[in-house]
Amino acid sequence: MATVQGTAIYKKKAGTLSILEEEQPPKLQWKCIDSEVASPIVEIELDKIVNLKATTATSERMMLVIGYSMASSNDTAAATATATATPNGDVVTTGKLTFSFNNRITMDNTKSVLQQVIARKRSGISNGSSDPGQSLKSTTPDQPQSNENVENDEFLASLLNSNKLLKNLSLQQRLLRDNPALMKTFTDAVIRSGLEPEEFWSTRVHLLRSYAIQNNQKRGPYNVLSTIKPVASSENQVNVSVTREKIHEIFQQYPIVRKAYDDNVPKINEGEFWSRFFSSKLFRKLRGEKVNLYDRGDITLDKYLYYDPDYDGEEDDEEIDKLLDEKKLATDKPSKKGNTPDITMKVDQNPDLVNVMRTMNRLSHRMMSNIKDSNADKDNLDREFEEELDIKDLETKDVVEYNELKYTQRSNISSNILPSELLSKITSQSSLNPTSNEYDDYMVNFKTQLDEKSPLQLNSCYVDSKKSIYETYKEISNIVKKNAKQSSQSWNSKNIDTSLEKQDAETLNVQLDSLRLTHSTSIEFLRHFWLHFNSISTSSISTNVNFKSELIQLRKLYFSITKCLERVKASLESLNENDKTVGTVLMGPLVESLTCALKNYEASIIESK
Amino acid sequence: MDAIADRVFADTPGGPTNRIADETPSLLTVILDVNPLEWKKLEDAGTINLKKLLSSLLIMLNSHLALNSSNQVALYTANSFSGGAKLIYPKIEDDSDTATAKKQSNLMMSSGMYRQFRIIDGSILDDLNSLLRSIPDKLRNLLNDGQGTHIKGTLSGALSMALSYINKSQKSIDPQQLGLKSRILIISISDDNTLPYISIMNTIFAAQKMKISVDVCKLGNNSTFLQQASDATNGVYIYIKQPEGLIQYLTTALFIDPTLRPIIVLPTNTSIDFRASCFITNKVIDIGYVCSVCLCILSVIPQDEKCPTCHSKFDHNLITRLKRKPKVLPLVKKKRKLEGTNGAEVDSEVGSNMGTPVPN
Repeated sequence: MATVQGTAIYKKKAGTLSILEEEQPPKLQWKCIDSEVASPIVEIELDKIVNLKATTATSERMMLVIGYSMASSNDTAAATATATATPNGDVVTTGKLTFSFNNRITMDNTKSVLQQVIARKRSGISNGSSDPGQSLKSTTPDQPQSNENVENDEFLASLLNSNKLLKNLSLQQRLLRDNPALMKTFTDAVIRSGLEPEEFWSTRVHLLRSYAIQNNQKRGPYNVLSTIKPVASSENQVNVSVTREKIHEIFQQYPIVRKAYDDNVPKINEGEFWSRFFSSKLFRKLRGEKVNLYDRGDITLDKYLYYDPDYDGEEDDEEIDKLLDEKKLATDKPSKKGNTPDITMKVDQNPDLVNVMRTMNRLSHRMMSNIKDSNADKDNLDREFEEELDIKDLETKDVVEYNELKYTQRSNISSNILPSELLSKITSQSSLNPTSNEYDDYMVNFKTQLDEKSPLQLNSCYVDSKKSIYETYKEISNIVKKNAKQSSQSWNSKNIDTSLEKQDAETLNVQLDSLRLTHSTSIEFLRHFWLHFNSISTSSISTNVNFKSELIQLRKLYFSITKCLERVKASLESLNENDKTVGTVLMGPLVESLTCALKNYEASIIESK
Repeated sequence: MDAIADRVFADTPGGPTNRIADETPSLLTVILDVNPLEWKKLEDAGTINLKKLLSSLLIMLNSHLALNSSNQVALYTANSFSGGAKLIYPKIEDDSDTATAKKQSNLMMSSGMYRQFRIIDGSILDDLNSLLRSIPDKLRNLLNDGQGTHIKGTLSGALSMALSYINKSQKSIDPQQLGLKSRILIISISDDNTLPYISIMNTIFAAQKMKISVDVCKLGNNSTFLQQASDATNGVYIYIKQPEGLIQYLTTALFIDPTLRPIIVLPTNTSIDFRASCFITNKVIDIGYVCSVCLCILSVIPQDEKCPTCHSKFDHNLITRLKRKPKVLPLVKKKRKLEGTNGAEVDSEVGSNMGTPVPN
């Protein structure tokens, strides 16, 4: 069977030109139509074709010139061939065959097939040379698959291990590259101020972990073929790029392709197999596209079209019932064709459509079966079913038990609202010691202030206090203005202290950056300081292996914090008079917390003997 | 005439709804702190005295009543020393109107006042006067008053009384009071240490649930808990910087009707201190311990290693670990290291120090 066949005139003799791709080796053949004429059969191996020339589509003459070169001296068709001897002794024959057609369609068909052959050959060569590893890999495609899930679990477990994360320098570098803000803190705290990198990361293990997981997430199954898109290149070539992973996926999802690969690859080379595959009808069918009868496919691979579509790479072990169920068969009357027996269960369904649906169904089925815990679903279903069967009303009700807490509200007994010195005065009081205290003195007045002799005058509260009433008015409207501004902004907008006016903040903006940097670095050190400080307070030399090193580390941090304090002061000094007051307000809390850390350290220094 | 006017107003778009909003009566409940010691402090500082405050307050109450004929007021006092929380106005009715009218004329200067105001103001002043007079002269007497040795903090008590008063009136059969919009104003002069933390928090949550705003007029020191109270209930917390202009605060910032709250920008101090107080020492704390059972907040570890509130026993080992104080290297150690040139020696010394259990 020939892929393309048609009449062609060769050396003014009519004949049939056919391209025999399925033969080994595939070749192009021309036979004279008149068997009586002893014109030789022209045969040329497709591999040997190097170039192709055809008259333009508009020209009246329809000619196809096939250029070839072969290393063998055996030359059946070399009518116009010229043999040249290469320096190494091989005889390289180059030549060309000229066919003329009387039918443009035949010529175009021949031309495009030959074009494909040439293109395939070229890409096959480049493929083979550029990626020798591909064939290596592809020959054992299903080996890593079996334990992939196991590996994945182990991998995830290792991700969660903080120690490993802390040692994974490349991961840390990548994270820094991806996160400029973190990079800034890192350069400032670690590179410039000498914080140990390990320290730095120890407080950020969560970041590392999430980054690691984010970058190593397992990709679920997907329809690989749909992601492969042939791209037409400038040289009339169709380029398809496939990675090893994709090939692997293809084999996994389409066992039929693996079978085709296993059957053919020793014979044809790796690159060629794939280029054939992507131009085949099989590819189109597996992708779920509609396959036209007249589409050109690939002769070697298209025979797999007719293989059992359910072939999944393994022999079927399914048990077939050896008995016939009469009852079931009674309703099955294929002759009547009530519902066409396909998945759509509809009359007169387009068979192509059904085919596509089948393919898709199979694919999803296969994908689902590759997902690890498909068993869990089953269990769930069972449980659901069981629950449905339960008769809930008859079950004994769970009794909610409470743990009784005896609650005493001690804070209500607040004898301490009295200052202690007053309390002692009172207790020393007796009838013999009538020294009165402040309270007693005051009470005499307090009790009688609503006296009839000096009645309450309501106007007293505003008559002489016009000025302070006005001040109050201003104060309240200021508060309202401030609140209005804040409520119109978003909730998390910067709430700079009221003493910091807006204009000040603007002029400060330039210097603000340097302050901000100092601030964030200091916070970094403070964080590590407290981490170690608290860890030391809750552990001892016996419980913590790193106790000694932590002590030394902590002392280092103490000095770093002293330096931080100096830095804050220096950066405040560098500001001009106006900004300095604002800057002091801004940095106030930081200075406070730095000194607090220093004080705490100093307070817990071991007294040396 | 009225009929015509009514129709005209009803015809304007939005007229009826506006009228509803305008004419919804509301109840103003005031809680007045009369802690004598705190009042002494304020008076000593020369800022304000009770009398001045009262006149401002009465003006405020009068103006609230003047806004709507169905508006109501209530007044509670809170005294941390004697008497606790008391309802001053409205009185539980057993005196006749005339009797109160007779009495009050003596305490009020302006007799030409609108009669309804005069009756209410007079009644308030009378009751306050008798309340103040009932406070014992001597603190010693107060302590030995048979009420026990301790003195109650009662602002939270007054707050709960006010809330229950509001609740009662909102659910009464009287159509005038049914669903009455209410708000509470606390005039506080005491420090936070007179406020029982849990009770205050509970009243805050109750008010929040009843959708009653708690406004705070704060004299003396700033109060953390009252800040939280007003913040949680969409109220106004205002610290009185100029007690001379108190009337201005009371009649503007603290005079916002409940129906207006959703629309208006409140003149409240926004920087709120959200700290809690220690259940044992009653002091506001930054960092403390929390009982994992009852969430009781502690600034010190109790001696008996039991939660003071729910009596849950704490884990002994944990407590000892918490009690252990950190010990760190002295700063001059470096020198020694150089002298000794023997790092191991230094380390072992540190080790021996650390090895011994640290007595708390």
